[in-house]
Amino acid sequence: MEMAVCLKHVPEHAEIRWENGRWAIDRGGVPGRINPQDLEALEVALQLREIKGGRVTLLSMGPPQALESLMEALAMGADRAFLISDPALAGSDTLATSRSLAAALNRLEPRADLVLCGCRSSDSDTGQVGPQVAEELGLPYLGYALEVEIKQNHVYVLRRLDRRLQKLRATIPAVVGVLRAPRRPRDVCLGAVGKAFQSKECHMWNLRDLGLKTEQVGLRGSATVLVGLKEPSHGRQGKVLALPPHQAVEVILEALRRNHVLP
Amino acid sequence: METKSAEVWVFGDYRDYRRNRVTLELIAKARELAERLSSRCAVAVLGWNTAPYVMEYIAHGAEAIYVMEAPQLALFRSRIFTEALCHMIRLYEPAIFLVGGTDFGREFAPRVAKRLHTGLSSDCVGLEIDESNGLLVQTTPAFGGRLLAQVITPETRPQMATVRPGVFKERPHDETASAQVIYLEPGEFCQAEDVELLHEEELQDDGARLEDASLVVSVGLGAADPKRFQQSLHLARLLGGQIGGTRPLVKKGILAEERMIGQTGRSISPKLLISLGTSGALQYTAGIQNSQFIIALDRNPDAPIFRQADLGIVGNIEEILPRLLRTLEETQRGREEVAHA
Ligand SMILES: Cc1cc2nc3c(=O)[nH]c(=O)nc-3n(C[C@H](O)[C@H](O)[C@H](O)COP(=O)(O)OP(=O)(O)OC[C@H]3O[C@@H](n4cnc5c(N)ncnc54)[C@H](O)[C@@H]3O)c2cc1C
Repeated sequence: MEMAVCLKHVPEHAEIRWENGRWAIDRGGVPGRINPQDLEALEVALQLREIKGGRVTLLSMGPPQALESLMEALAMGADRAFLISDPALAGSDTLATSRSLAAALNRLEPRADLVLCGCRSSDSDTGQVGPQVAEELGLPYLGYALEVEIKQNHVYVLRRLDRRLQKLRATIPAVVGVLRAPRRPRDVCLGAVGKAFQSKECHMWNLRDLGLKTEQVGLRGSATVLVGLKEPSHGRQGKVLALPPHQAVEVILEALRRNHVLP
Repeated sequence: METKSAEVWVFGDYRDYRRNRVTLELIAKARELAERLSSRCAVAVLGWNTAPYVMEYIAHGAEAIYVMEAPQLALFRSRIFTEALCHMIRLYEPAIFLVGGTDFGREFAPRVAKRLHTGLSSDCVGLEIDESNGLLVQTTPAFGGRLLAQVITPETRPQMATVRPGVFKERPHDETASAQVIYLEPGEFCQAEDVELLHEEELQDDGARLEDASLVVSVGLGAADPKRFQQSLHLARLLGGQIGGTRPLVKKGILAEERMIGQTGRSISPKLLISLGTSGALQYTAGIQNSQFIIALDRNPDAPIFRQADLGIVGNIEEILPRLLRTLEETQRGREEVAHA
C-alpha cells in the first residue's frame, strides 16, 4: 500500500496588523505546527501501514518553514516527505493549491493507492482542497471519514455527513478526507524529531519539478481575489446590567420571551 | 424569457427539509442579488420525486426552477451531482451559483468549481453586489473568525460560494407565487457514481452537531463546578437546547470535545446563546459570532464577553442560576396543570 498524506503547516497564530490603512498578515516569524486534522489523516495512514504494510509519503505545499512540520511527521513514522515550495505559489487559492498538489501526486513514484488529507485547515478553513485534488486527479473522494479500512482493492469509509452515518466503498486509488475522531495521534519526543532530521530525507520540489507554469499557480492561477479584510461588527445591543439576583432572573426571562424561547 | 440571462442560481438541497432551511434562505438572498443584476433567481433541483420541493421553492421566491429527475439522483452523491450540475451550468451559464454550507454542499461545491475552473469561497456570512462592476462580493470568515475576508471572482463564471446556514432570512411562504419550471433530461452521467453507499443511518440528536442547535447554553470556568454544570445542563434541557462550553472545561474532562465552542472548536449560530461564566477570550468568541442573540452572565463587569453580548448580566451565577431554574420549573409546572385542566 502506497499512501500519501497531504499536510499543511499552519501558523500557531498569525499576526494580523493594521498597517498603513490596510490589514497586513504576517505568517512568517510565528511558530507553526501541523494542521490538527492533517495529523489525524497521518495517524490513519500510519495505522493502515501497520496492518497492510507499505509506505507513507508526506506532501506539503508551503514556505520553507513547513519543513518543521514535515520533520515532525517523519519523526512520527512517515517514510519520506516532499515539500513543494516556490515563491510563485504565494497567494494560491484552493483551485491553484489543488492543482499543485495534484501535479505532485502525479509525479510520485510509485503512485499512491490512497491519498489522505484533513477535512479542513485551521487557518484558511475552506475544506475545499481535498475534494478539488480528487477532482483534478479524477479519483473518488470520500470526505468526513471517521474510520478507514482497506480490503483488496477497495477503500471502506465510515463517515458522518449531515446528521447521517454512512458506510461507503470505492475502488482505490482514491482520496479520503479525515475528520477528527477519537483516535489520538501518537506522541513524538524531541529526540525522535532530531533523529528524523538526521536519517530521513525531505525532498524539495519547485514549480519546474511539477511541470507547472507560473500562470497556473499563485495569484495568477487563482480564480478568487481577496479585496478586503475587516473586523466583524457584531451589531450587538450591548446592554450590560448589574442587578440583584431576583431582578436579573426577571430580565433573563423577559429576554427568553422576546426571543420566543418562552411563551 | 431569455435563458442565458446571467441568473443567480441556488442549489436545491431538499434533504431534511423541515430543519435544513438553508436553501430557502439562499433563495431569499438570490432574489435580492438578482434584482440588482436585473436578472432572476433560479433553483437547480436534482433528485427524485422532487415535485413538493419545487412547489416550496416557488412559494419561497424562486422565479425559475431547473429540474433534473432520475432514480439515480435520489441519493445525494457528489460525483453524479457534480456531473449533472456542470452540465446544467454549461447550458445556462448562470452568473452566480450559491450552495448551502451543509456537509454535502461543502463536499460537492468544490468539485463543481474545480471542474468549471472557477472560484469558490466557503462558509460565507455575507453576499452583495458591487454596484460599480456588478461583481459578487463574498464575505467569509478568516483566521478563526477574527476577521472577515472579502473575496471576488473577477473573471471566471459562475461566481460560486457556499453559505453558512442561518445567516439569511427566508421569505414568507406565498401560495400565489409562480415560476417557470424547466425539466431537463438526465444524461448518461447519471450512471457515473464512483462511490458506493453501502449503508446509511440517521444520527440521533446527540449534540454532536452543536452547529444546528437553535438554543445553546455555553458553560465557562465560572460555572464549571459539578453542581453549576449540572444546573447548566438542566437549563439547556428545560429550554430545549444543547450544552456547549469553553476549552478549559474540555481540558478538565467535564465537557466532551465535540461540544467545545470556538476557534479550535465549533462555530455555532443558534437563535439564542446563553453564555455562563465565560470571560470572552477571542478564541472562544470566534465561535459565537453568528448567534442571533447572546445573553452573557459573569460576575466581572469588565469581562470582554460583555462587549459581545446583546444582554449582559453582571452577577454571581451561584445566586442567579438556581433561582432562574426554580422560576422556569414553576412556570412549566403551571402550564402543564393548565393543559391538564
Ligand atoms: C491556540 C489556542 C486555541 C484556543 N481555542 C479555544 C477554543 O476554541 N475555545 C475556547 O473556549 N477556548 C480556546 N482557547 C482558550 C481561551 O484562550 C481561553 O483560555 C478560554 O476560552 C477561557 O475559558 P473561560 O472563559 O471558560 O475561562 P476564564 O477565562 O477563566 O473565564 C471564567 C469567567 O467566569 C467568571 N466567573 C467565575 N466565577 C463566577 C461566578 N460565580 N459567577 C459569575 N461569573 C463567574 C469570571 O469572572 C470569568 O470571566 C484557546 C487557546 C489557545 C492558546
